[in-house]
Order: sequence, then C-alpha cells, then structure tokens
Amino acid sequence: MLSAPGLPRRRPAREAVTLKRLNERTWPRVTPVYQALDFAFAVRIDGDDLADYVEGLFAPFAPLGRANGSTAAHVYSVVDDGPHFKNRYALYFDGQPIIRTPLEPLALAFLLWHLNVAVVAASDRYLLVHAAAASYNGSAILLPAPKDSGKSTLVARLVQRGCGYLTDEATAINPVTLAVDPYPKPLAVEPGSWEVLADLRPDLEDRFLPFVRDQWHVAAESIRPDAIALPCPPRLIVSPHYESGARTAFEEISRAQAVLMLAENAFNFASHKVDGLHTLAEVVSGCECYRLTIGSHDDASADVMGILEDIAVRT
Amino acid sequence: MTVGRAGAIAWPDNGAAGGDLVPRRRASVHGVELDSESVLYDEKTGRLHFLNWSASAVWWSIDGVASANTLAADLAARFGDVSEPAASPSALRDDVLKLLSMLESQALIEAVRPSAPRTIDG
Repeated sequence: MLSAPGLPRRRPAREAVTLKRLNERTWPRVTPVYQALDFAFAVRIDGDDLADYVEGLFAPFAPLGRANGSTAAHVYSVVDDGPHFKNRYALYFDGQPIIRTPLEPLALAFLLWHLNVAVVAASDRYLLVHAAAASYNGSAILLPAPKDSGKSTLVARLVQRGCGYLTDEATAINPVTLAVDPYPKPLAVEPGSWEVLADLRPDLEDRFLPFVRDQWHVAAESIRPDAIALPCPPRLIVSPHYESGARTAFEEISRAQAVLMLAENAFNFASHKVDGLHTLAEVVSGCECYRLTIGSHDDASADVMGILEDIAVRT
Repeated sequence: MTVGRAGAIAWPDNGAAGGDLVPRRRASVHGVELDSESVLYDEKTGRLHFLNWSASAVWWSIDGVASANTLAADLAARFGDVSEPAASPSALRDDVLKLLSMLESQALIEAVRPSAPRTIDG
C-alpha cells in the first residue's frame, strides 16, 4: 500500500468506496496501460488538453494496450468538477486522494511526482538509485546525485551529444543481469536550467503551454527519435555537482567510495541489504568512478563524452 | 571491562589495554572489498561504513581467533618499516589497537577473551 510524505493518512475502506465511485463514472479519456519498470498504470482524465499532453509524455513507457479503467493494475484519475468549484481539479491514485486544486497544471505536477514514487515502490526487485543514466556504445554511465545537482541537465546534454537515454531520476539496476533497465520518464527541466537547455524548450501548441509554466517535460525522443536506450551494464560513474562560476573538473574516486555513494543514494537499499551491497560491488568493479564539479554543462558533457569514447575504445 | 552477550566484552577505553583480547566481527556486519578499500554494511542498524586501505587490512585480518596483539604483529610484519618511526612495529601495534577500539565503538566488532589452551587431558 503506497504512502508518501505529505499525503493524507491512508483510509482503505474510504478509498475502496472512492475507487468504486470513480470506476462508475464515465471517463471521456482513458490512456493506454503503461509499464514503467514494474509499475503498470493508466490515467483517466476529464480534460482533452491534459489527456493529449499526458499521452504524449507517457508514450516512451511501453503501452500494454488500451485500458478501460479496470484492466490496469493501478489507475490515476484526474477529475474536473467544473468551474463552479474553487478546487475543481482532483487527482486520485486508485481510490487514494492525492490533491485537490484550482489549477490543472498542479494536478499534472502531482501526477508526475506521484508516478516516480509509485514506480519506485512497485519495482523493488531492482536496486533503485537516485541517479540519472545514459548509455554509449552499450555501456551505461550513472550520474548519482541529490536533487538540484545538475544531473538532469547533464544527461540531457549527453543525449544531445549522441548518448541513449535511460532515466533522469531513478536508475534501475537489475541484480540478476547487473544491467541498468530504462525508466525513460520525460526529462524534468527546472527553470534554473532553461537558459542552458534553451534548445530543448518544448515546441508545444498554445493549449499545452500552461502545463510547462513551472517545469519543462522533455521527451528524450524529441531530442533524437532513437534516444531511448536498451538495458546495458554500467562502465562509468560520475557524481555531478553544479557550482556557478567553478572550473569544470573531475576528481577520481575509489570504487569503494563509489559503492558507498550508490548505496547512500539508493531509494531501496534497505530492501536489498547485503545482496544490494554485493550487487553494487559487482557493478562498480567494472566502472571508472569520478566526482564532477560542473562549472559549464557544455564542458562537462564534452569531457564525459571523451571518457565514454575512451571506454568504448578499450571495450 | 563489562561483560556483553555470548562471552563478548567491551573493548577497554584505553585501546592499548586490549591487546590480549580477540576481536570478532559481528555477525550482522557484512563487507565488500574493492581495490584494497572496503564498505561495511550493518544489517542490524542499516548503517554503512567506509574503510580505507589500512582499516580494510585490519578488518579482513580479523578471524575471531587471533588476539589483537597477534593481528598487530602480523600486520606489522606485512606493512611495517623499521626505518620509519611512524611505521615501526610498535607504532603499527598502537594504530591497530586504536582502530580495533574504534571498530568496537561503532559496534562492528566485539571482543572476546582468548580461549584457554587445551591440554591432552582436556
């Protein structure tokens, strides 16, 4: 049962009633069932504009077929109660109320946030690390870092330079194959990166513009049609840290330090415990590991590409 | 010294006094070694620990049988340098005992008294 900080206390009986009521509604738009790692979901939406926008955003998640609201393992519902209600928009996850708001874009923002939480919760067989990831020549680069370290910006630049896109948020390490499986959510580009990523500004119809007022959602396939990567084993770990005015510089770190860093940045290390430690050790034993101070994203992405090309030559 | 569980006793605050004790890795602590450094994970507390190469050498030499003095002597023989005061056998022994004391304070190891030597009569 999914809970998350900031959400109301779970009330299973009440949620069951709410879900029944939502299931009995007629929904103008229901998306296909999508699969994001181990999380299968659909979205039911009252508004056509939001529905069209959401279907575009989630297209990279392998669609499992058309949903009718009951075939998906989980379903989000975005309700519009109409202009007579101040907080007219409501978002539900199954029967769980997530938010009620006067702003449709805010309902979307909460949907995207909750989706990350739900994907992580449902995909516990993976070791999930808070890291962006890209691929080059069959090898993955992991970019573990806390929020606002520049990892989304760096991974976007790497995709622009020819890398495949794996994720910008939760790197899914498969403990069986030791490969990173793609979680190709739309790149979340915050206003602080809009200037440096100006060429990725979404080219949208006017009706979609309210949805990107506070955050751009950039589909990797809009950068390059074949940008979504296949699963691949990590060969490079770079922990980025943006520092305005700093000189872009790499500092090599030991593999043991990298294991510690990945474990500390894992969403679910507590689930994997000792096995997780051994998985990380196996993964890292084949990697070069660095800390990266980013002063310029152009310099940083060019330097990372240089390392990736060196690795490609050697492998 | 205070007596702990299953024969374990607390390491003396003065690490140098613990030379005759036998350090034993706690069963809940697991480690991996990469390029002579290590990461430890304590399943009981959920905490992670990083060991540099010298701490790692000590950790992996702990076998639950050898006393702290024996471990220190073995490590001094492997890494000691009589021409360097900081790496002399006695300095290394002090370092090993301090490190064992630190590992015990982090609940990564426990100390036990050495077993009495067995005689033919038992």
